[in-house]
Amino acid sequence: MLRLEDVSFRYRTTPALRHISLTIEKGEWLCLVGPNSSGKSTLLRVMSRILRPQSGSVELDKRPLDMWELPALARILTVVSSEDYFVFPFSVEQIVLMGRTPFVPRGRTESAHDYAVAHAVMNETDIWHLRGRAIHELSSGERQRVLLARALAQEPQVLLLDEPTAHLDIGHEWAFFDLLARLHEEKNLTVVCALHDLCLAARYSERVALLKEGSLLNVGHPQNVLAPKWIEQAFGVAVDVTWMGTGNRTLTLTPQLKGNPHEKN
Amino acid sequence: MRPGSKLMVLSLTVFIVAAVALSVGPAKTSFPVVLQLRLPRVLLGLLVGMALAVAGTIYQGLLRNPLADPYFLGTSSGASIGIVLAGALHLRSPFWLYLAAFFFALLSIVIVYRIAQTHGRVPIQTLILSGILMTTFINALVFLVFSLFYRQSFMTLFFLLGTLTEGDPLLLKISLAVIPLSVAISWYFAQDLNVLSQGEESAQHLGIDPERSKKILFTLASLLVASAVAVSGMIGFVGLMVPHVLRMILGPDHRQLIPGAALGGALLLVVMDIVARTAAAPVEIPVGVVAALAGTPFFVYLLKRKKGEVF
Repeated sequence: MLRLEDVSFRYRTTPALRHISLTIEKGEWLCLVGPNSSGKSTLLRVMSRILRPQSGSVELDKRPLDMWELPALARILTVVSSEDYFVFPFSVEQIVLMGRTPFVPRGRTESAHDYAVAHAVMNETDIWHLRGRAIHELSSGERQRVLLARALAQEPQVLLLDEPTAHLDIGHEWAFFDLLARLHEEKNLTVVCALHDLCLAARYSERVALLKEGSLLNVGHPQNVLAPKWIEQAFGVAVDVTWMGTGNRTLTLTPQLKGNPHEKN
Repeated sequence: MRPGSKLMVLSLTVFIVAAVALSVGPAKTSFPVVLQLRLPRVLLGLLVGMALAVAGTIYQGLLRNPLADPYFLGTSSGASIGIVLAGALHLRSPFWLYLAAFFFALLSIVIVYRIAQTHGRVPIQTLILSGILMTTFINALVFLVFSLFYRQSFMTLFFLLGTLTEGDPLLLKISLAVIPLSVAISWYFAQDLNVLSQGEESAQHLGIDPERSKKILFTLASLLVASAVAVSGMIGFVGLMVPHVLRMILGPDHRQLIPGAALGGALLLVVMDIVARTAAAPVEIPVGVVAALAGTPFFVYLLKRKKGEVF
């Protein structure tokens, strides 16, 4: 679905991504993890064409990303952002309908079908009861669901998310990811999600890509990638790792006393 | 009421007010007076009000800032220095006046935008501040050019205060073409404004090329401001007040807001001009002065009411 070949990117002179090659299969869920400024967000922004890499190629559906017309791209791939500006009092319904922008010719209004799609995704994301409310009156958890609904209204095949629950408490965070997991399942959505929280990544993703200083350290099944050896290499902390729960999806990290930089010996 | 019917009511009001404007004035109402004196003036009021209000709407959407207005952003001043410079260089054909006004209006908004922008955001304080800086600087330039080239021309100074009296018929004809056309094209790009008001990356994720749309919309707004300043001088507050009030009536969707602001701006300026013509008759007050007297309390009210909140 999405294929990166030897991608490098630098901001002015600071390298942010170094020779990344990564293929994301249709319908899979991949999490990007790694320490601060390891290039997770930059990688997502390269995938969504906000940034263009200085070298290497990015292909979506076997076509170079640069060759896509923006509206056509927006009908296949989109981003659930966590940094939108809500200056004007748009209603929840209006915001979700904006997800139909790539389908509506310029100068026209949304068709009955566009409304039907928007209403369907509002039901799926459980925001139907909020449809008349102004966006800035909502809590951050509700607002994040509205942004997810707007992205889903684009009927995408690939959904990119950058720390979508950064401002949410644990209850709203889990609710958001459970919803995302259900949609991933039902719609065969390809999900690429950058996360700080290794335990969340372990719980929800099918593959994990571990980044450090702009390089891809390892990619594969969560149990292989989130192993003590790799975690120590990426984050510089020595941990013991236990896997529990159904399908061994619940990850617990315990610090090892020896070699922990925060312990004074 | 649906937005469509609200727009109908608004258009009807504009007609009625235009009819009232044609029938009141210091001179006795007679057919030649209406046709030769008042009609061009009312027409000018409708056009200029429309231009300023739509330009304000565009700036507010693009800058994600409900306090943006062509006057405070220094765009009107930019257009005025263009006109004054063209005059000083004896390029007095309407074509050169227009071109100079448009060029300097665009230049000044681009500079203000660049000054105000920090990390991809345009914070409200720096925007207003850089707009004031730009206005102050350009006004100084205007007076410099005046003192060097225009010693005797009091009329041009009066003109820059904002008035609908000076009616060069050719300029009026150009504005009659340029303003409705620019408004129509802006309306065509209304959804771009909706999407851009939520951030440029979001716009791109929704299939809108933010750089391209920004360029088009900034150009249209500058064209509108230049057209307004070229025929009527600098009139403030219309671009600030009208989008605000219309947003309360019609909601924030620019597909309704742009035609709404066009009608609302036309309405407001014609009403202000009736006041300007009749309040101290036979002396006439520049309409820009009426706008500033009415607009400043409105601005204060906005600042106080919505402090720290989302508008």
